[in-house]
Amino acid sequence: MPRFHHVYDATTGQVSTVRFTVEEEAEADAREAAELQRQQQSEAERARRRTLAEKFRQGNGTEAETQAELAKVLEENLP
Amino acid sequence: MANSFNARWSAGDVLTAVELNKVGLVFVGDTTLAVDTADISVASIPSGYAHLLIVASLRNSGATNNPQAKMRFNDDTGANYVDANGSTETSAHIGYMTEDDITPDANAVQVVVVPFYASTTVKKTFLSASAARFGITTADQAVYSGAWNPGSVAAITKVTMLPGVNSLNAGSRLTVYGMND
Repeated sequence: MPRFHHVYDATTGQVSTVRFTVEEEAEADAREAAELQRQQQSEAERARRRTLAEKFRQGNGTEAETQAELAKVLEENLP
Repeated sequence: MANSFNARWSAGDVLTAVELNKVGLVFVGDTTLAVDTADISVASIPSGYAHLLIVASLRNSGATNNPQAKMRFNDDTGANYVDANGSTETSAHIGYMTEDDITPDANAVQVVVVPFYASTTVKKTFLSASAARFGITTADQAVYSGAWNPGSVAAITKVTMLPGVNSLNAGSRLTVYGMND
């Protein structure tokens, strides 16, 4: 299915619909693939944290897990 | 004189076109999608304002969870957009948009401010306030920041909103204002 740009020209007030070039189609495909991969990784990480949080809540988390998670949080929040 | 705008008008004053064009926010462009489309832009943005204010209402055409809202300047598809974490992408992540499989009246909004958008000596940094509803109980509200780091400095003349995946739904809207100093 071809993609199209919708462009409003602020000088003329005209709207144009322009079909993607071959290069633009390839770039859009690559962007979509990267976005889907990021979403899958994000979902997996969320699930992992939910599981870990539940273990901590129930007092079943090991000290090593706690330390590793704290280190990760500290590293992610480096200025 | 940097600012010729007279903020203290008196009774009987007659405004000139130059003065009228310097009043607060000036409308630049507004457009709404009639059908699902890959992206939406306002082009030919004049350089005569101090800053840009961009307002978007975006909805994704697919059912993919938590679709990102992206932005580009001047059709630059290079890896020239840097986010707050320092990662570089081919478009700026400015928030999230509503997906197509939830109630039709839900949407997402982004309000983006680009200070000194027309500078030809300074690269552009921007802030985006984004609020998106994903589903009945899921939403994202946050402020995103980023920078546009092209090879050579250019005034912004075109703003494009695009999704990370799929297309933008019909009804998605983009409005651009110029802000005067």
